[in-house]
Amino acid sequence: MRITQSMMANNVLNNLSNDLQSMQTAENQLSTGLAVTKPSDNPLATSQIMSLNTSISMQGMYYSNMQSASSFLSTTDSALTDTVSSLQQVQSLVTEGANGTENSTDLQTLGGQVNQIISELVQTGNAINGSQYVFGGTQTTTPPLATTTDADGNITAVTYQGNSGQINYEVAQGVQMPVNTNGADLFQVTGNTSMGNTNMFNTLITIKNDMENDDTTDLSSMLSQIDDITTNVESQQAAVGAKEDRLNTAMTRNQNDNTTMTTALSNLQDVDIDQASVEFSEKSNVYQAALETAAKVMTPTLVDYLTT
Amino acid sequence: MSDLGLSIAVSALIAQQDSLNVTSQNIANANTTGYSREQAEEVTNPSIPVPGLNSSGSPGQFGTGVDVQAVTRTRDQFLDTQYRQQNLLLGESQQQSDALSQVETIFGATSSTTGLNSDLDSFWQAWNTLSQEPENLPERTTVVETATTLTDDLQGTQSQLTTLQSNLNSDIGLDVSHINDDLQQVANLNVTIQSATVAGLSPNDLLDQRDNLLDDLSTYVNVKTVINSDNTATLSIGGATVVEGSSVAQLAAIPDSSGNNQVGIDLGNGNSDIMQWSTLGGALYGLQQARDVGVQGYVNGLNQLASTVAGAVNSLHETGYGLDGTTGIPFFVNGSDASNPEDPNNITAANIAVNPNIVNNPQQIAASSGVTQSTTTTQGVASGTAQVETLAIESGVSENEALKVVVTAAGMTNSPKTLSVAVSSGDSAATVAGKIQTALSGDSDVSTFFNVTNNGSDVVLTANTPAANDSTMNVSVDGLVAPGDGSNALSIFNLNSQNLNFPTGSGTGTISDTASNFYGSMISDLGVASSQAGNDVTNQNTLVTSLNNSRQSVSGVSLDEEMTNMVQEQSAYEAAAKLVNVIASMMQTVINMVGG
Repeated sequence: MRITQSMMANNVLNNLSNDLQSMQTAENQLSTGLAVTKPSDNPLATSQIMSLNTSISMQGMYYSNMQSASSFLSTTDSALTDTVSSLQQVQSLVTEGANGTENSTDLQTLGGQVNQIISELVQTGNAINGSQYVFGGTQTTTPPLATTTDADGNITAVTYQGNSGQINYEVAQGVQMPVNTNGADLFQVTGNTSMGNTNMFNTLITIKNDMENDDTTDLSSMLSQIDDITTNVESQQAAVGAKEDRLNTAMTRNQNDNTTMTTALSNLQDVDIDQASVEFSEKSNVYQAALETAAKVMTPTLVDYLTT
Repeated sequence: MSDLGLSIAVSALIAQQDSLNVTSQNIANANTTGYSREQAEEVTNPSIPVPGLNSSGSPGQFGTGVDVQAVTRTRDQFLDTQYRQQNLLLGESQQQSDALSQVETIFGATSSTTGLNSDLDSFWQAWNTLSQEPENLPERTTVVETATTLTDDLQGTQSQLTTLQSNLNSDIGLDVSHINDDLQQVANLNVTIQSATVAGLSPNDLLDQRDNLLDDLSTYVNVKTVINSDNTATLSIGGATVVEGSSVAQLAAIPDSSGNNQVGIDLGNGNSDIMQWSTLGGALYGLQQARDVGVQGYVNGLNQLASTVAGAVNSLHETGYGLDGTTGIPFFVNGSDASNPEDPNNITAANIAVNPNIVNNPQQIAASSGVTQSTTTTQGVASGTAQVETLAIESGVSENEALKVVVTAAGMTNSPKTLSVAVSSGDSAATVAGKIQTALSGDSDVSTFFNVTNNGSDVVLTANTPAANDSTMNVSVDGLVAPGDGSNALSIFNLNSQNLNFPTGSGTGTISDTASNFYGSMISDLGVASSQAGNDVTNQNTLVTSLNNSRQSVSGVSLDEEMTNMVQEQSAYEAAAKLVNVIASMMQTVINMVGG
């Protein structure tokens, strides 16, 4: 083949530009730390990266959902603990009142204490997590327990204003966890036939009234009702505890999954620095060699050797 | 004898000078694009017979020197044809690759924090957060904000794509005028080439210029070239002759009904025949493919994404209830349809917007799945007749809640009148009707105007006085929304992992996939297409470069060669001059002999 100077020049230019281009690619990878910066770099990896990004982001959301659920459940849990301890106090007060040794002044005092506990329980029942009443079902903006008071400010009736709605938090793809404990079930305000007429506040108000009226006849029978009510609250608390356990396990699994996915993403997306550095220096060597060769090849023509 | 010798020497001097001129021209044009190296064709002059003692009249031949008969250019037409064929494909793939890499830039990188994919993620996640605290305004505002970001990005991406399309469209127009320019120049050259050829000259430089133009044309459009015997070139595109001799048929970019340029050729009858794009080939075809197939595919894809997601979200949203009891409104609307902004039909990526009512009042976001009662009756009442309204209570309630009862009637004091009626879990329809009756009877405004009765499942309102005018009355019952009920928001969130039915590009059938997978595979397809187009360009470039090298190998100027020629020509010239010198001295000798 006949070779001309302009062919040589063009070839040199072409090759140098190719070398520069591959150096630029390598440099770009090294300086961004990413092996895939645009879809055409690796179409298959691109769709995997996008779906991993989505999964990781969702996983993060589920984790924060679980944290919120956890906060909701722990608010519920401590309210239930308070409720149980209040009920236990009532139980000892009733036991004290029912033993027949108390005079009417003592019973009045006991009744006053029960009265105090009733308002504490109403407060506990209107517990708030963030901005939500936790025991009102999905009626989260109105206090679930409304009270009617007499002229002295004593509570004479408590009504449930919440509903039976469930608040579900999605804690993993397709897994919904009801986080709220329903006040209607908890306080037995509407009466649960299977448990007898154990409306918590009606029972307590009856106890208080009996004590204040110096009427001890029904007090001992009230003990078993208090027992039923306490058992009910405790079983609700156990359910909350079980959910908290489940959340803890799920949160650990979520973190593990997250680590796995982040590693997978890094493998797909991030550049292997060692390999890229080696490739870069190879390419830069080639480029330098090309420059040196070009400088030597371009200069001489016959003109250099002809003397006039 | 010496006369002949002298004239041979002179012819040699002239011929070597001519050759040296050619060499000089070659060296001068060593770097001129499209220059074909020239060769001086030195030919021996015809010999003449010289009678001699031994030849008795039969011709003893003497040469009469040398003459430069022609200056020819070295060019291989076959390589030209091959080069132009491949250059045509290069032009086409170059345009497609350029357009696709711009689309890649428009769609943004694969980054986790920007782009439509993360917009979609944030949008879904905002619904999830809302489902947990639907009574809170900040969560509602976040849904509106993320949705607005999503719609803004959809609109922005779409408008960048359509801008790219219109740039490609105007590039077609620019290319057409460039082609016309080239065709005109070819026709002009045809004229001068023809006259030079007829005069017996070889117009090498003009031919080179014309070949240059044909090379240039081959980037843009598929031109068939026929070189006629008078050296003029006849060019045709897709069977239509565009240059013949000095006449030119102009190409025209003609916008169709949607403003997309088509290419037509005016064949002199005043009408432009629209050409098939595939017969045009080259950059024109590449631009059209990029405009109508490449970029359009992503425009369609975005529209399908926008309309499908909007449709799925809307159909759930319309069944739900806002904090203020609003129901049946779409979440996404067609933002460009000002006369009917709530028309959710024909939502595309270019016009998708969040319902302005929801933007103004995020309480209307239907996070709640609903209420237990929703009954409305409206009745026109003619003047002078008693107004009777029957409100059918269809079912009991399963939750403790407050029903909102609204009574509107002409003539009633404080109309419309809104009452809240508390119902309890387990109430039957009859109980609910009874409670509504009690509440209405208990309201002095309503009971003054109406006599309210209850027949077991219906509440009947009968006006005490006939209507004074033609009027309309209306009674409605709505369950109040439980503010903490986020179940509809959760359902909308769950759309993120559900397979939605996306229409296919061809318009028939559907693709069932999640929204982010649909988008992901669109981007993945873009990556494949763009990297393929890039490879096509690289391969085609290699081919074109190597063909050009082959052409250069034939036509290019080698300085070494020219220098060698120069030395040869110089030596021959010196030798011929020496010859003149010798002949002169020989003649001197003769003269001296005579004069002696």
